[in-house]
This record gives sequence, structure tokens and C-alpha cells, in this order.
Amino acid sequence: MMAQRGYWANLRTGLRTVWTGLRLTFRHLKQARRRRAPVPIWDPSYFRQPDGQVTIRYPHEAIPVPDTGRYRLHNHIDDCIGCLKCARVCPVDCITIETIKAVEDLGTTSNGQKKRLWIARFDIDMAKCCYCGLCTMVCPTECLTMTKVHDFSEFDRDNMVYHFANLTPEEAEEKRRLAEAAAARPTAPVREGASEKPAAGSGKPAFAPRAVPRGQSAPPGQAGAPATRPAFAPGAVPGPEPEQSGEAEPKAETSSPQAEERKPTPRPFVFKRKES
Amino acid sequence: MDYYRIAFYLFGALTVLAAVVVVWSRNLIHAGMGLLLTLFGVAGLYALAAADFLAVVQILVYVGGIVILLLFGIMLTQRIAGRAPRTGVVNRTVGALIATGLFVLFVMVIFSARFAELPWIAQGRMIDRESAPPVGSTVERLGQLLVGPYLLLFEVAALVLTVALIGAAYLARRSRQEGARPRRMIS
Amino acid sequence: MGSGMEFFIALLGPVLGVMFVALLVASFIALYTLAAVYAERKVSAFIQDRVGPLETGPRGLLQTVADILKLLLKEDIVPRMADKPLWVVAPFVVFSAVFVGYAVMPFGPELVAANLNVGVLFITAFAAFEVAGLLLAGWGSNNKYALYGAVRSVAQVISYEIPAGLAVLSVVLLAGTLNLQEIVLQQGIGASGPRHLFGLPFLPDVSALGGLFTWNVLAYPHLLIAFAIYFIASLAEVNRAPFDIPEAESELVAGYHTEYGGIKFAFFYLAEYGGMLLVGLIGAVLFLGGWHSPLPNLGPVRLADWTTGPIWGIFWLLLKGFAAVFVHMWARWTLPRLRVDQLMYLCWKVLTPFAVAMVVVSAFWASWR
Ligand code: SF4
Ligand code: SF4
Repeated sequence: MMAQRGYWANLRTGLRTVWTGLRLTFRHLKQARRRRAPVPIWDPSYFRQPDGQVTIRYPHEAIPVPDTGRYRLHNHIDDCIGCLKCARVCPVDCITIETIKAVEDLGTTSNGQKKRLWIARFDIDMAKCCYCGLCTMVCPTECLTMTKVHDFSEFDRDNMVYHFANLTPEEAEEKRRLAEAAAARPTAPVREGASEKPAAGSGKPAFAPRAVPRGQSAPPGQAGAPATRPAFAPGAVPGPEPEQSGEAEPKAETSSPQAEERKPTPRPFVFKRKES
Repeated sequence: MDYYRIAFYLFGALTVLAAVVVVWSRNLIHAGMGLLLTLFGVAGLYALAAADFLAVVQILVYVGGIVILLLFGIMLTQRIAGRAPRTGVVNRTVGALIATGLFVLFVMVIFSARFAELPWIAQGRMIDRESAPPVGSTVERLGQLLVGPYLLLFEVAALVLTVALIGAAYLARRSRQEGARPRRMIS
Repeated sequence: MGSGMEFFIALLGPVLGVMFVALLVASFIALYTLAAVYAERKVSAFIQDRVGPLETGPRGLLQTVADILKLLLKEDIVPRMADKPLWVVAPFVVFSAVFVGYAVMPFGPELVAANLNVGVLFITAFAAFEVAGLLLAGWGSNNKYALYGAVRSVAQVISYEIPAGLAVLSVVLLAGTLNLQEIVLQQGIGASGPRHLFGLPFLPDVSALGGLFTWNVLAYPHLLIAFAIYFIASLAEVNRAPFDIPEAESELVAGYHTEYGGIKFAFFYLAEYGGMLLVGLIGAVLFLGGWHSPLPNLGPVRLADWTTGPIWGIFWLLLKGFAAVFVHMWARWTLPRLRVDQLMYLCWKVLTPFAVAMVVVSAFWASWR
């Protein structure tokens, strides 16, 4: 390259480019007296920053996050109906929910939905969360939202698990006992045996307590529930599935053969995911 | 014992010890470093003998130039050959004979020479240390000698160096065929 | 006391009772290095629109102090396969080679540790010693990156000594002496002979004026080119960007000091920054009037007289040296690293011919004068 350019042309270019470069850096050196203001994005000058230092000294100052910022999750637990949609949609499985069927009336959420379950546990592991926001979209009561809090690093990873449930363990135990008592009240020997089986076999504490009462208590109050909400069927599979041989089978038979056929397909999906 | 003497013995010891390392070290790099120290010690002795220019040139040429290039060459060729830079002991008998012979010769020369009667030493002994004018820079006198009485030798040395330079450039030049790779060189 | 003796004092200063001065200079170099590293960080930050160190101490001033404390407290690791004696002495050889250079540096009218008659050569010679240290470090580390760094460094320093030496020679020819102090004295109000502006006899004699006009670069304008050559070559000699291929971090990890840590690494740092200041000071002494003030005597306003003296001498010389160090930093954060062939092209085909031309001009000037 140098040989083709000619010695003097090369020398001239060299000197000129060095000089240009030095001038450029010196200009920046002089401009370092000024600095970029930490203005938010809605400020008109955000994209028209003058020359000078661009560093924002973060912990001391920060560019304000808009109120619509979508960072840390928050669950307004009073509105949560424990529908599990968020836990199921989450691609990284970072939401863990435990519900207990309520025997008493829990009232309604702020948008008028009926609450039927106690939320014994609602944990979100923000260390796993990928901030996709899917959980907030599926929430029927819009109680799960993203907030603009974005700086919540911790020294201990366990502190990244956020607990939103408002029942104490004792209260939860109490509710669980009540729910079991209620489930046992219209006692039939067949059911007693059936309820034993899945609880031992499933090994899924998060789902077993919920799945068992719902599947069991079908005849009195909740008979329509699984039918009207097909979305729940896959999630409920691990629990009630073994029972189907004993009790729920007739129901399936009465519905339709296609439904029977379709049913297994979603099952492996759900099962696999929950297992991992 | 004044500082001068202490320094003389220090530099003397440095020179000799480093020379011993050069001879006895089987690691070529260590030997090279020993050579460097030897030449440095000699430079110190020159400085003590009021030959400041010579001392500095000694460091500049030998320490900074020749020994460095020597080490440079060893390092590069060692990497190419893939062998550790070590020396072996060969020709023990002949070597021992020559060394002893030289040693005896030198000792004889030293003892037969009568230093006290050499003209410049005799002159130096007559100068009174305290009242003598300080020895000035040797640079000027060296320069005058080089372009005066020794001009021919100076020019011959320059010619030799020029020839060496041209030879180096010839060896390093690109071969004539267009696009051919430059000739392979070692160091 | 002969000049050989003086040389000797420069060599073994501490042993010979100038220990205090040596310690003074050593602690000065250490302090200066702390400041220079901080300055380098700040300069680089500002050039790149960043803020640089800010958290440690007011405005980040204690950052380098914290760094040096960390280095001092670090474990002194010797690589298992290193050539131990060479590896251990290398940083100290490198540092001493730079440190010794300060011995002959004239800081003021009477302020020079060893007023050597061969001062210029002395410093050049010990620059070569530094190369030996680098080679030791590279070889002793037994690491291919270190060895490559050392080999590159040697090739570079030895090559660039030629244009640097020729540029210095063009000054020495005109000065007629190798003594740094005398070279400085010629460039100020106390100069013995007449000194015409721009060296032209028909222009007025400015030796009474002093100041800027008697500096070598103005007294002999062609030395401006020699100064530029010297400056570029000295950048290469201290392995600074754009000539930092010996420690090119993107290819060689860190070059010859790849394996070093702790206090030994700190010594390489001291040597690097000490070397930067040293070449800056030599440039100032040879071309920019040394410790002389840049302010001339203007009639009754005797600025040059007022601003000359031991303290002023140190001030002016260091000011010039620091300015050179600043330009080093400025160039480092501006120019990309040269390729090896470009490095050699610049040295042998650009700097050396021009330096030879400057020597020839100087020779004619000196004989015509
Ligand atoms: S934002 Fe996405 S990853 Fe995070 S909890 Fe919600 S669904 Fe899961
Ligand atoms: S989707 Fe909403 S309502 Fe349903 S469990 Fe999650 S947070 Fe509660």
C-alpha cells in the first residue's frame, strides 16, 4: 500500500491525519468541562445532548425511568383469584403459587370477579424472571403488574424471591385444615381412598392440595368448574389423572370421544414443564 | 581505603564473577547475561580510569547493542530449533591445555613486565594528586586524535561498517521475483 | 575528582553519600508516577467523553494510591516454569536504567547530581540497559506473549535509537559539548557567545534577551524538525502508543510484563512513567532551553532574570517535562497502534533520513558560524 502511494504523498497523509486526530481529541478534552445532564427521555433535550462527558454517575444520579417502565413485578394480592394463568404462561417457571380452597366467602376482586381460593403462597423469583411480561398479560384481574423499580440487586440470591401471599403459615395451615374438613364432610368411603392415592403419588406439593379438593368436591359445589374452564384441564391433570380410572372416567365418557382423545396431547407438555 | 578503591574492587569482582558465570553457566541465556554484566563491570573500570567516553561507549555499543542482539539471536533461533539453549562440554583435553598454556603465559608476562618503569606510569607517579589539574573530558582529545593521526584507521573502520551494513541489507532484501516471499532469515 | 569519578558517582550514587538525593529523586518518581497514572486516566477519560476515576477520595485523587497499596499487598508470585533469577531482577534492571538517567539531569543552575561531560551519551547508553531488562523479563517469564513483547520491544528500541541519536547529534554538533548542563547554559541569558535570532547573523543578537528566543529550537530553526523526530522516536523508546506493540494488550495480553504482579509490576509502571518524564526532560534540555525560563528580558522588565534560580529552574524544567508527558498521553489516546512493518517504515524510511539531513544541516551551520 505504501509503495503505491508514493513517499511524499504518504508522508503528507500521515502528518495530516495525525494532526486531524490530535485536533479532534483535543476538542473532546476541552469539552470535558461540560457534561450531559441526566434528563429523562421525555425531555426535549434528551436526543439533543451537547458535547462533553456522557457518563451518568449511576448510583449518584440516574436518568428517570418513565412510569410505564416494565421492570420488577408486583402482585396486588387482594385482587388475585389464584387462577394460576401467570404461573403456567411463564416461560421460565419463576412463579410458584399455592392455593387453598376457601370454605368461607372471600368476596370479589376490585373488578368484580368472585374469589374462591386463599393464596397460601405466591412467590416470584425475580432472579429467573426474563421480564417478558407474559404473566401480566394473561392475568384476568390485572393484579399482576410490572413496576418501574429496576434497581433491586441483592447480595443473597434468596432475597430475589418475592413473596406476595398475605397468609401466615399458621393461617395457611388453618385454612388447609378447614378445606380438608369441608372436602371430607360429604364423606364417601370411595373418595377417601381416592384422595389418598394422588396425594402420595404426585409428589407435587404445590399442586396436589389444590388439585385434590377440586377434583374431589366435584359433585356438590364445584361440579361445573372444570367443565366451564377448559383452560384448567391440563394443569389439573397431574392431580386428578390417576382418579380418572376410578371416578372421573364416567364423566369423560359421557362428554365425547374426541375430548377423550384430545386430552392426552397437552398432558405431556404440562407434565414435563412442571417437572423441570 | 577510599571510595575509589572500594569501587575498583567492586567492579573488579563484578567483572570476574560475571565472567565465571559466562564460562560455567550451561544455560546460554544466563551466559549472555553474564557477558552483559562483565562488559558493564569493565565499563565501570574504564570510568574509574577517567576514561568516561570509553566507558559510556562500552555500555552503549556492547551492552546496548552487541550483547542484546546476541541474546536476541539466541532467543529467536532457540524457538525455531525447538531446543533448550544449552551448551555442552567438548574437547576437554585440548581446551584444558590451551587454557593452562595461556594462563602460564599471562602470568609470566605480568611478572616479567616492570610496570614502574613504563614511561606513562612513571610520569603519572610524579604528578602530585592534590595539586594536579582535574582530568578534563576525554571527548575532545579523542575526537582530535580520530580525525588527526588516526584518520586513515577511522575511515577504514567506517568502510568496514558500511560494507557490513550493505551486506545486511543485501541479505534482508526482497528477492527479485515479483510477489515472492522475502528471503527467510534467522534473527 | 576526575570525570571518571563523577561517572562513578552517577553509577553508584546511593553508596557514595548522595543517598539522600537519590532517595529524593526516587520518591519524586514514585509520587510523580501516582500523579501521572491519575492524569493519564483523567486525560483518557476526557478524550473519550468519560469522567474517569471519581469515587476514591475527592475527585478520585486517591485512586492511584489505592492501586499502589493493592499492588504492595499482593502475593509475590513466581511462575513455576520461570527462569527465576532473570525473572526476579528484570523489573529492577528496567527501573534502575531509567532512574540512573535522572542523575545527569540538570535541574537548575547548580542543581545536577552528576555533571558528566558525556551526559548525553550516558542517558542514551542506559536506555540500552533498559532494553536488556525488558529482554530479561520476556525470557524469564517463560511465556510466549512475554517473549514476543520483549523481542518486539528490543527491535523497536534499538531501531528508534538511531533517529533519536541522530536528532540529539544535530544538537550536540551545534553545542560542541556532550555535557547536558553546558548545553542548557548555552540556551539562556548566561550564554557565552553571541546568539542571533534564528541563528542568522544579520538578525539581532538575543543573548541578552534570554527567554524563549535563546532556546535551541528558535536559535536554530531546523532543530524544530530534529525535535519532532526526537519526540516521535522517544515515544517509541518508552514503548508508548502509537508505538506500544511490545505490550499490545489486544494481541500480547500485556507483553513483557504479562506474568508480573504486585510490587514487580509496580516497578515496571514506575519505569514506564519515569521513562516518559525522562525523555521529556531530555527533549526539554536539548531543544527547549532546559531549566531556562521562557520569558525574555524586555527592557526594564527583566522577566528572564526574575524567573531564574534553583526553584525556578526545577519549576520550568518540570513544566516542560510534564508538557511532554501530557503530549505522550494525548497521542496515546488519539492514535491507533502501528503495525510492525509500519513501525519499521517510519523509523528507517522517514525518521532516519530526515534525522541525517538535520545532522548535515547542523554540521554546515556549525562550521559556517
Ligand atoms: S415477566 Fe415473564 S418471566 Fe417474568 S414472571 Fe412474568 S412470565 Fe415469568
Ligand atoms: S394470573 Fe393473576 S389472578 Fe391468576 S394467579 Fe396469576 S396473579 Fe393471580
